[in-house]
Amino acid sequence: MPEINCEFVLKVKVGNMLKCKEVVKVVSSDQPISLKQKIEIKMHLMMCRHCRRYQQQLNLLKNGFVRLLKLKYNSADPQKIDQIENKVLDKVNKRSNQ
Amino acid sequence: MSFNEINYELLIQRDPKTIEQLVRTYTSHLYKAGLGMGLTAEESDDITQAVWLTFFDIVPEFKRQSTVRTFLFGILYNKISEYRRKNKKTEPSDQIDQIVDSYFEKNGEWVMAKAPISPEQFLISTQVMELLQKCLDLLPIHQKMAFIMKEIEEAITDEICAALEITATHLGVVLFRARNQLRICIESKSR
Repeated sequence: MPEINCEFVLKVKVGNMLKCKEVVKVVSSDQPISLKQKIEIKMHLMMCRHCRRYQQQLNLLKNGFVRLLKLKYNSADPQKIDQIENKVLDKVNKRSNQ
Repeated sequence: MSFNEINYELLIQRDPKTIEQLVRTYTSHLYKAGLGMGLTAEESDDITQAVWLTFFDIVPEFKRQSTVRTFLFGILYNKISEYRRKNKKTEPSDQIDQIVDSYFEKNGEWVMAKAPISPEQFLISTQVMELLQKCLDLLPIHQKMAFIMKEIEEAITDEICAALEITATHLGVVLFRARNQLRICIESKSR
């Protein structure tokens, strides 16, 4: 039986691994990916702390901006929105009657 | 709400009830999205009204496959772009691709000194709303719009593409740029 050189196998696998730059591109652009790519990315993230951090940062980023925008949205004055609706209806109905 | 859920014929005939139902449903979306895009309350008020007038002008020619929201957000996007151009507010230049490149070695690995900081450190900055606002202001309009539709309105890819009139592949590029721009902006303030 031929002996398997584990170190060699590992090196070949690592050599074929996706590069960080490619992982960043895929993770941040929401493009549909194949199952093979999905597995490769999982593998990469398991082994690469930097890319793992990158992915965690993107999640925090999303949460932060959702919070910011929700705060902004909630600061909108409901009365003001009512007024805008009325102005719009007024204008549109005037136009329809012309 | 799709055009199938409202009575399209009644809309074309300008049935006041149908019009009112639409306006009461979507005005707050438009107005708030305007604020999210960085407009003042006054500007968002004006632009929301302009969006509706355009909507009712062109609705008879519109394909029914689209949802009302997509259609309205597409008009909103155009109105804001137009408004920014008129007011000669210079759009931030888009050099993010080169900047992202500078974070990587030739072999595709992270440049050590620029590798992402820890989530704990990063989190602290994402809680500073003024900083987030400053970073969001740096994005070009289409990136901001894509980001808001994706993350806040939770619109699907098809809807965002239709509103911004871009392909799915291009949307990937837009999101890549928006997210990396924001990430780098926040990280540069946290190191």
